[in-house]
Amino acid sequence: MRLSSCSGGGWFAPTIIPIVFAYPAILLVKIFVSLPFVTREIQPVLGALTPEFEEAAYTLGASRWTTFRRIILPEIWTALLYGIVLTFARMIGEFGAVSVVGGALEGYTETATTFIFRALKDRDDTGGYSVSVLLCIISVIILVVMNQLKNRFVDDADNR
Amino acid sequence: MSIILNQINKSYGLQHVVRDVSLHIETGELFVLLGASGSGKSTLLRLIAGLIDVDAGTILLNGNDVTHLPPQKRETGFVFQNYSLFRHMTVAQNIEFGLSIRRYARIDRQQRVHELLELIGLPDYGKRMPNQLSGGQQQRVALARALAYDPNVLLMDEPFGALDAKIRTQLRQNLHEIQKRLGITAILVTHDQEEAFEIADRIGIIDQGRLLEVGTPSELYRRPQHRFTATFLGSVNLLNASRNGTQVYVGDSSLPAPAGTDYLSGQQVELLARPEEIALSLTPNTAQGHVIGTGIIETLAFAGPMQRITVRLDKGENKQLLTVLLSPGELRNAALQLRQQVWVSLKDFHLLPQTQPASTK
Repeated sequence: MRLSSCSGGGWFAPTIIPIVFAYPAILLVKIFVSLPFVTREIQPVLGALTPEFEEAAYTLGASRWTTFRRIILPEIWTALLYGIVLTFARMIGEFGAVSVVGGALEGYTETATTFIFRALKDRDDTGGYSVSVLLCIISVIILVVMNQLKNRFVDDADNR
Repeated sequence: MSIILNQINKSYGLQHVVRDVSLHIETGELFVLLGASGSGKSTLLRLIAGLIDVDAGTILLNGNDVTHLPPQKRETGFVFQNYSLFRHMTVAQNIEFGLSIRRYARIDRQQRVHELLELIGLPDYGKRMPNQLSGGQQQRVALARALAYDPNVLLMDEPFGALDAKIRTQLRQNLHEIQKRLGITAILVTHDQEEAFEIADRIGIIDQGRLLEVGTPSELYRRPQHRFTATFLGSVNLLNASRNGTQVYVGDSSLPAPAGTDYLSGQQVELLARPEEIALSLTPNTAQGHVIGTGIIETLAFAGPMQRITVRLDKGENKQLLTVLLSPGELRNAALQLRQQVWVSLKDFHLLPQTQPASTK
């Protein structure tokens, strides 16, 4: 990876694989910002699992991967799904981080939120409000899904 | 499947948790590791299962060195104190888990699950979830899960510890029957001596990581070789004595030395007398066994099927307090009452090398 400072991106602006002001940067920053949401949901569930569940699986002949796939993952999947949905909800409204590292380049690294910002700035009210309504509808759908998952989460915890 | 442990050691930092443990368990034996909490018995069991690595020593299962094999390859069955049933699986799925890992055909798995559900007395419970079962039922399912693939050895870590007394007794008997029926070698870890006495073929006493002694329940109870064993297994009276020639001298009395104690000749010893082996009488002529002196009855207490009596000896070091257990019949026959002077005699006793001043426990 050759370093280049011509695009102003320093270490993250190589000429072979563009990162800053390109899709990878948006992906990276969204992962960075959203990871705590997933971690926060999964951590208490993982913490409640005693090591004996894994030990039981090992003594029954299961490898580490099989134990993770068949024992741990089913225990945490509701929390994982909830974390993913939370992340998605957070991310569709992300503006600051993506515009800084993505540059909000029209047709290249522009997201829905940066589009709305640009549209309203350019007095393209129709475009701006249309995408806003779309984001609202998506948010409502996410809220409903989150609510269902939360209830399921609580039910699973009660059953244990 | 015989199990041979040779000089097993395990430390966590500066804490030496298992020290120089060597042991040979015969095929088909139900061996109980008995010790107080924190004595290292559970750690030893986990070392045998491969859940923890040994620091030194070897573990042989049926002649094969498994010391450095992972738990998946040791073919042991493990039952945990808190069952550890997989909560998202049905009872049947839990039991067949080990079989599915070993890629048994579905029809074989179903057949085996059916057999095991019959064995543990839960024939129609296959579709239930663990949270729909009582503690005792969950533990039975855990046992079935561990037995499903015919393991070489069954390892159980305080399997009844989380259950109430009545269920514990019942399950203990069930387990004993199942183990004898299958002829599987088994190691059970417990701190409950009643449990150990009831089901063990042999017991190993563990204290601070060391395996102190091994023997049948009767041997360890009546003829322990270590003071710790004597005081750990039930109540005991220990009296300072000396052994010379063919006699044991306790206070002003001399008693014939028990067989097999010649090696203690010429030494100070501790005389071990279990409360139920002490007899009390109003005259020396009616005393059972060997008289050691007189004493005053200090307390008389109801203890269920027995009466617990404490007697303060008239003579001897510190006028020792002895604990005696008498059946209601014995109490009536002797017409004993509080503050009465009685003759104290021993129906049976054992000798231990003197390690520290004797006291009643």
